[in-house]
Amino acid sequence: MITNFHNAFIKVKNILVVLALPILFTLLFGYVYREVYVDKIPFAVLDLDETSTSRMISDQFSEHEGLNVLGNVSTQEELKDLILSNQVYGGVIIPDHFEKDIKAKQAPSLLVLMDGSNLVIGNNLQAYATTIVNTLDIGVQLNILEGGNIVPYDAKQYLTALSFTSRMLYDPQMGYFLYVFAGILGILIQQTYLSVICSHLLQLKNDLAEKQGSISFPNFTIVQKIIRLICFSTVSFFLCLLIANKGFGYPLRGDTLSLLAIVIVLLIGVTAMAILITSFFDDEAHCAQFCMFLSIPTLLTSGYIWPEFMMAPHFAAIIKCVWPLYYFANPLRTICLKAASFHDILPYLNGGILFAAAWLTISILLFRHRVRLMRKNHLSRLDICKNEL
Amino acid sequence: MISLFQSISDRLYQFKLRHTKLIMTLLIFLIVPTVTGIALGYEMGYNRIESIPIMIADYDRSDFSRTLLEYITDSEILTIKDYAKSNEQVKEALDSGEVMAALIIPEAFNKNLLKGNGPTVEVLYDGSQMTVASSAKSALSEILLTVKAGYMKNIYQGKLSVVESESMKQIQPIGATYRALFNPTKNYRNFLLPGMLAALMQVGFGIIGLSRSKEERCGFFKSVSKIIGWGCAGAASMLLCLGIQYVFFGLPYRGSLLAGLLMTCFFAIAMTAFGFVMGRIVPDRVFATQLTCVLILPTSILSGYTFPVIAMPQLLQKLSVIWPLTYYGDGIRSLCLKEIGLSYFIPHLTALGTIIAVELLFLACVVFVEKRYYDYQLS
Repeated sequence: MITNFHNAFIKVKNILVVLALPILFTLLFGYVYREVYVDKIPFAVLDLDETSTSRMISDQFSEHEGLNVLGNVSTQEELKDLILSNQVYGGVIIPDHFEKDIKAKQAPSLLVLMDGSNLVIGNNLQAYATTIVNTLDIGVQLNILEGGNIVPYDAKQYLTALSFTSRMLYDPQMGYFLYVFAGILGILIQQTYLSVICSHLLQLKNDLAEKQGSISFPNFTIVQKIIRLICFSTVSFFLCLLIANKGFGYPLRGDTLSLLAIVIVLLIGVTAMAILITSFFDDEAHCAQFCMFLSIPTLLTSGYIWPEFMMAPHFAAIIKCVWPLYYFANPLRTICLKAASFHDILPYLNGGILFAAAWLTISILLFRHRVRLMRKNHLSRLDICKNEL
Repeated sequence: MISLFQSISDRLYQFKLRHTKLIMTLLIFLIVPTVTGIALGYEMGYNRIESIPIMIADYDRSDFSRTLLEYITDSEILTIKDYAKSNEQVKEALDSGEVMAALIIPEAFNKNLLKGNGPTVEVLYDGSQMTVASSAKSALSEILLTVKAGYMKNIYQGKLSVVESESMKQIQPIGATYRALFNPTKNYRNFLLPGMLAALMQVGFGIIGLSRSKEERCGFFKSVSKIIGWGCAGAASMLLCLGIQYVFFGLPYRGSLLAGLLMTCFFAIAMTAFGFVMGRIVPDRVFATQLTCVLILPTSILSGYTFPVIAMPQLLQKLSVIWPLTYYGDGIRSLCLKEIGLSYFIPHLTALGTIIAVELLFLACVVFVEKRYYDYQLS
């Protein structure tokens, strides 16, 4: 019974990998990034003044939703130690004579310390602290202006006379899921497709190596398998997008045709790379091991996490020539978040097609060359066996 | 030429056939860390997010707007890519990703400001690239607040007859100094790379563990010695990977060297042991590889290295304690950036040690069950 189950599982394994795995991970990562904001960041207050004003400031920090003030500390060393041991990620130091200096209009300064080693936490902490300090500042400024015989209306006018409106387009909440999902989806589709297609290609390579005559690669059977897998991966891609949209609010603003075009171009590009990889590997497990190494480097170099304009000179040009994810992750984000049209993503499509065409040619030639080598080796081994016999 | 190519490829193929295991080990422990380390180190050469392209739509063309633009021009974080003539042009540039932010100064801004009409400068950000958008926002906010401070200074001097030296104190009655400890320049590479390289290398450790477990069905103690031996080799490869960053790309290392060595060894052993156990319980080699990697790879996210664990749902916060990368990723970044001693890593080492102990206990159970099974089959 176990053997039957095992055989049945092996039969559907490939379809499960290509279809179900991306969906499973979409659900998992959607759940991970469910919270839009990083809040309740552990924080500490060092109040060296201990007056009503300093307590009011301390309360402002305690009441902020983004912070989780774990308590007051008594020395700077204690605060530093808490930050070093990751028990808190930041703290505010209210200096001695703080209230006195405010009354004397001496503009005392708070010292906000943040653990900068984790930029996501550090940036959020700075944003929360800035909001608190600015609110306090405006309150005190209003008092100063009103104390200077300016009527409250005018005082408010002066403070708001020069204002700035910030609008965050495409993702107003700046959520982490919306930021990373296109890249992660690219990796999921790429890795699952790669692992299955490599298995088919290796099987074909070993079959071809055992035969004689002309090397029929790419033949009808493998093309059929590739097309079938591309269809499965494409379905999985759209299902993932749909789940992300319905379950986790990922916007789908662009048109379906553009999405279809980029995913097919990606899969053809990955097919070319799969043929190249399988040209070098004979063992399926070794090939699978190598493919698993590709996920993190290809994501980090795709221009998705580290934008193209920030890359070192010539790096972007190199990466566009060696891996196809660049032509997928970036336009996917643009289509989904910015409603980019087919025309807008055309440069990516052209690049992706060119990439696939060039690498398909090279990889097919290499694959055929490798089969020839295997046949030669096979024959020479047969000769040795014959001689030994 | 063709015959030369054929002869070389023939020899390489023969070499590969003879030394497959050696080649795979070298690939995992030497080639992958070296190539990835160099590529990522070179890619992120600018270290932090800077030269963010911004578009300006200046409909005012006054002294005020010129002052504002001068501040932006002087900024290292922002680069003025183009000047727009219309709001449509701004939208197009943002849509196409040509610029990441745009500043719109409305017509007669200065005139309205002087009249006290409260005009507004509009700033648009491309929110689809979170890290770039937040850097642009923080840089622009700083500039705009400086400009606003200049404006308020005039109000205080004019309306309240405050002398210049005093006016600054009244503009910002409560000052705040923000100090980002350990990474003051907000170096993105130092934040990202140590843990990402560990996330990559842990796949290799798992694979090596798995491959070694498939070589022979050995007993518990031999298995443990294999795990420790290959784990230490993995640790050396992790150190090579980090060493490349340290030597060639300026990644700092400020913490205790002993803590770094111990953490790396414990982490590599934990991951090798995981791969080893997977190899013992999953019979099919290819499927075991895929399953091991599928279980290891998501921990690069679930460990909270980039997106903190404290922001994850409760269930995942609880689960995060079982991933070795949770301790190592954060720990190695702390060691790189903080002057920190071994004592701070006792909890990390204890957790990693516990994980290893649990894995070995599991392995002992597997070996025991296997032995009983074979004995039963023989009988």
